[in-house]
Amino acid sequence: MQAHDTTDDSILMERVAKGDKNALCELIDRWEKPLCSFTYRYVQNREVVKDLVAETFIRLYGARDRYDPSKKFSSWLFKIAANLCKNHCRWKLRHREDAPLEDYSDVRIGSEIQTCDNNPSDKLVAEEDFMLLKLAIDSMPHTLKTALILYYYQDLTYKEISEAIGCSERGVETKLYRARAYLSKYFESKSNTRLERYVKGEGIPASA
Amino acid sequence: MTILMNKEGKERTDIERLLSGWQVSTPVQPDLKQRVLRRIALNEAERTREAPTWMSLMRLFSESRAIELTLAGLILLVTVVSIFAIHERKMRMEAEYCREYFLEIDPIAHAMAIRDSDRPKDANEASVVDMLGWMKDRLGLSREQFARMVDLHRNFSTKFTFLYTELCEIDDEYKVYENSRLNDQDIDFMAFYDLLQKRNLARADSMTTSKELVEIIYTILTPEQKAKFISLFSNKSSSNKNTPTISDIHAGA
Repeated sequence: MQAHDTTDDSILMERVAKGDKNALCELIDRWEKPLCSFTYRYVQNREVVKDLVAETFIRLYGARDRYDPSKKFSSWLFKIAANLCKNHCRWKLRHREDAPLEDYSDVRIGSEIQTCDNNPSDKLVAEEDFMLLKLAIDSMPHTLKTALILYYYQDLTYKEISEAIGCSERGVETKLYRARAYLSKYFESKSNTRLERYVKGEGIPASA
Repeated sequence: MTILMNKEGKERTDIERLLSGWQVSTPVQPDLKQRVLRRIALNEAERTREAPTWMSLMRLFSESRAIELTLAGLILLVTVVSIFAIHERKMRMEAEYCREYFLEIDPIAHAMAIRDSDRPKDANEASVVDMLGWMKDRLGLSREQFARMVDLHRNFSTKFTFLYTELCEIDDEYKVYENSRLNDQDIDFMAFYDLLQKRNLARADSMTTSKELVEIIYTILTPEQKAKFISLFSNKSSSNKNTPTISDIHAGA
């Protein structure tokens, strides 16, 4: 996880509020990677990520007068990014018929999984689980998805996540619990399907 | 898949292990900063082109000058309202002076106005000099013209007061005759005829005196002042339907 100095971010943001574009460039240098990582996990499309990250910084500059220095910069930044991701997903849903189906070919599964399995069949199962995980996160409701990604991948605290998604810290805890329950249920239903496929001799069962 | 286990704790561990396995490589976009800065510049240029005044005002307001701008706005508002109120008051006073002056130099209209409004005959009205002071500014009279106007009006004021009093008394007597005629039909018609004759004479005398005054005023005023004088009274007295206008006097003069 990024270990940025929050005070520095606030100071940079104050300079940005005065129209200092060099300060904005410094913030881009600091936050580009975390933002790409968050946005990619949310929308799972590398081409879209480029546009959304750029748009996030543009929105950040546009809303520089509304920045509250008492709150964490990261919360504010991820709030903007999450809203943009949500809007993109809505747009994608509305234009589903016009747009091509989600192409997962860009998801370099092998490079994204961290696994110790050397057995080819186990590796295949792991890849399938991983693919399911991505599909499950993709289909998750906005607040659950945002809380999950911010907590597990951006290492934000409950307080920071609560500021980003606009709820209490207790609410964040609940949302994380619901997100995990959602994933469990998703895997349970998909595992049944996988077992059926195995019985039909089409695939490999999950190792119990 | 191990997630099929029923225990929540175990499921959580499996889910978290799976989640932690998802690593994303995020290559840096070399042109990101340029793209962002270019888009910001474009947005700003567009905004400036669309509504430069409004945006600059908003920007000015947001740049910690809110209090000063609010105060300036309030001062401006108060000033505008004051100017409007002063102008309104001046116009009202002018109309009032105009009406009073007209009545002052026309005993018939004066008596009729008193009769119609039922106000005391010697109400506290502006003096002739006050009214002439207003006229001095309005018509742009010189000091000499003003002195002549004051003398002229002072000379005529005794005559006008006398005529006005006489007309009021005749009106009172006329009212008595009217009441008698309507209630018991028992009136002295010869005396009533004499009263009407007396009223006609007083009215004719009033008209002559007013015309005489206006004619002398015309000799004092320049042609421009004369035109202003006529237009002023034509406009101001037109609202009073019961009283003749200065144009009537002017027509006779």
